Amino acid sequence: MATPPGLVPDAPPLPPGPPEAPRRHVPAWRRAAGALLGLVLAAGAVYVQTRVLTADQLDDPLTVSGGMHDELETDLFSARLERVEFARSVRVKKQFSTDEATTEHVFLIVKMGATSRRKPVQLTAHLITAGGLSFDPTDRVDARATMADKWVQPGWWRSGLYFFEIPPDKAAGSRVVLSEPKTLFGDAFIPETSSDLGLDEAKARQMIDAAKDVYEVSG
Amino acid sequence: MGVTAAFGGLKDAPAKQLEQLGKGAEVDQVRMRTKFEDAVVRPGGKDGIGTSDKRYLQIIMKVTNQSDATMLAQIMDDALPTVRADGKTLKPAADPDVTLGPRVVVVSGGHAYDQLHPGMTATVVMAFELASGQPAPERVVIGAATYEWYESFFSETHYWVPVTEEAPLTAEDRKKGRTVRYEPVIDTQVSLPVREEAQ
Repeated sequence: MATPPGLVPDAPPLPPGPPEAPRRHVPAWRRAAGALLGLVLAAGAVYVQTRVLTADQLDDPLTVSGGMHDELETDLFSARLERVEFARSVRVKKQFSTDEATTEHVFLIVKMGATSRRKPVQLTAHLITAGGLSFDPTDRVDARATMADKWVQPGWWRSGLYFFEIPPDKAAGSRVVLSEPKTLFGDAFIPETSSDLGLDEAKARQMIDAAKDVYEVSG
Repeated sequence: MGVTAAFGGLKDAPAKQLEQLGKGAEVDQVRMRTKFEDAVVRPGGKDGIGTSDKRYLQIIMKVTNQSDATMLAQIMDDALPTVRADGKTLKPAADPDVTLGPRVVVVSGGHAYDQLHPGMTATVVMAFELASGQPAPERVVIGAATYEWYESFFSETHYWVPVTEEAPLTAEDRKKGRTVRYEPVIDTQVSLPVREEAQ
């Protein structure tokens, strides 16, 4: 169907637009600086991706680190390293018997003090060597003679011993880590303290050479 | 496809050669290195193993923990999935509801302990109790698995697991309605003569 002429009015002529803005002149150095900034930002974004934690690292506990006698405070408990000793054997004196723990290697004995923030806790330890090996406290010494079996309560400090069986050459550069035992349905992000034993090669060798033959504890 | 056909197709890949070793052999199981030293039948009550009125078949090994953390000696129960004595299967047990398998301990200074510390070598004993009057076997054959540092597809975290492969279903599996079965791959078999120690 043809539209009769005259029904649609002719569009009025467009008003003249604003005059073309004159092209702003950008100096060459600013272009170069902008390009460089963009490149730096892009490179930075790529670099930050390399710092993303792996799934294993995301599972790691929250660590407070320090050295000998440093009071390490976490949300759950505080701990401090009080003494480091070495021994060739450990004798646990019980009420009616005596246990003798021997080793072809050496026993590293760590005295730790601890107090809790809110609730009584039991603290487990493990020893991390300079090479990243993780040693559990030895089962040759009855856990009842060690700090692992003691309750740490709010309000006062108590100390106890942890016994590790290690090769003598692994002592230098090691640290002892304390945490609440991780349970399957417990808190996923448990805090831990990491105390450097302050042993370099020379000091470790000297202390191991001077190790006691028998270390006596009651348990 | 031509290459695949030339090598005999995908289905007929040659079965992996099972390595046969004897007494004193050392097997690298990645997570641990195991030296098979001896197999002996003797009464218990010594080294913290068993009681003196029973006899035990003891497989004696030197195990080095090659991982970076302390592990329990009982892990050797998984690392050596099969043990046969004169053709009779000791492990895996015919009925896992009856027995939890052999006890595996670290023996040192006449005591039995449980820990294998990283980088350290310890004497490990796997002990099977023999029924009274049962004659000592002449030879045991032990199948060794290999561990891998496995990444979970779900959580992307890592842990040690034995390398496994799909195995045919057993009657038990069908009864329980399982549709798939994985078993540890046995790369190496170690055959040890068994000596008998009276007292």
